[in-house]
Amino acid sequence: MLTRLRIESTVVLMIAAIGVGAWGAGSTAARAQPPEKKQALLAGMWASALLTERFDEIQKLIMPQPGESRWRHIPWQTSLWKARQMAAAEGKPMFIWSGSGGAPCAPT
Amino acid sequence: MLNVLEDEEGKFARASRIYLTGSSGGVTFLTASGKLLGKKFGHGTTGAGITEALKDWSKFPESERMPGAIQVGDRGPIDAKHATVQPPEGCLILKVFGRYLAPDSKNALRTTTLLKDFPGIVNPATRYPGQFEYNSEANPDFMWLTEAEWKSLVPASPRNGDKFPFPAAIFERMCRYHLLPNSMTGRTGDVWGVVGPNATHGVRAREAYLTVEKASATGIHLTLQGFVYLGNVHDADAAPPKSQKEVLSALGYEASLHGRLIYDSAQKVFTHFDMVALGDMYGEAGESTWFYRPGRNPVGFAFELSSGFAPADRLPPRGNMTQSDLDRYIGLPGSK
Repeated sequence: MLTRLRIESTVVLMIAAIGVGAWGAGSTAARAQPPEKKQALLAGMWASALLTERFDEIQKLIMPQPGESRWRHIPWQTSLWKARQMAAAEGKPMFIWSGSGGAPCAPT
Repeated sequence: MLNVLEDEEGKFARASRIYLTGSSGGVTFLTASGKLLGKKFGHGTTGAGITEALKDWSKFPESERMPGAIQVGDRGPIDAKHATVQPPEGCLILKVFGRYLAPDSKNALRTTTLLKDFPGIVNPATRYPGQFEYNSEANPDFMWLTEAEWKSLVPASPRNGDKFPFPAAIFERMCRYHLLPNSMTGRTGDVWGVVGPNATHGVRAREAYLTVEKASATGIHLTLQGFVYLGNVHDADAAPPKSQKEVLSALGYEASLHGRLIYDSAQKVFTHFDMVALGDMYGEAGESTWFYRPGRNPVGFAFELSSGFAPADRLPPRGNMTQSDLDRYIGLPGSK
């Protein structure tokens, strides 16, 4: 049911070019800062630079990948009563996945 | 909420003994009349579990299995105090995905795998193949903006280059409910006051602005830029945490925010609401150190518009909320 991700090598290479530049730029600007602020600044700068140049790719990388978490493609009903009505009308049993956090369609 | 729901749906759930506990839930097979099929499973199930339930189902008489053989009437009055809320009228729904990331060998970013990136979970992940992989996959959530809130994002007289603060109510909610760096590992509630809805000091700093990139008679293109510092300050020289308390005290997330929003002036709706938070997480909040990664590690959150048409797209923020939870979500202290 759960599948391992596959990353297309082309996407990784495109990000790589920007990633190197972003971290390099951050280190120069942060050099004069106190240690904690320097680290935060470094973090902000690499991420900001990456998002400026490759927003679409990063958004796509974070979102579900093809073949990942395939159970989410199931047209789940979220009302047990509605599911009962459908099961009765269609002559089918129910597969119920219940959890306190809204699993499997929400934070697990 | 089924375990406390005082209406016909709650009574049916408890009487039929479906699996009701646990944040990641459990699986039950059931007939429409409430009879259990096969076995119940904590967490997910396998093909064998489904086959067994279907075998049980096939043994039922046709009077139970034929379409329309069982009649299920209306649910009746809903227990409004305990029921899961529906999106308020005019609400804008954003689909949110969070994901652990990692730098790759060329300083770019990649997705993670348990065995490669999380040393603390290698043993349980090896012992129980397939049980934990979803933690390194995209973790879904939903953010709700009331009609008044999303309309507040639309400038009345937009001119190219105009810049204005991202509204505090939306931003504070985003920080305390939807940018939780621990959410991928199943910690759905507060993280013991470090980050989350109850963490009044969990937002160390936040700043974001919307800029009008293009305003015309047909619409407004906005960009969002900003940052958030959540949780505790990172101490790069600290020794690796050895206990849950130490792991918690090390938790934090520092991220940049970028977004692109498009408002259709004719239809008076947002047609695009794409936002990404990307930055470093440190520490790991939870009952164990399974997902602890030494040092600072990239974590991202992506937001996009949801149609809200499918039932699963109308689940409340963090997956489960009553009306009182929603009232708190909308009127979160610190959002002014």
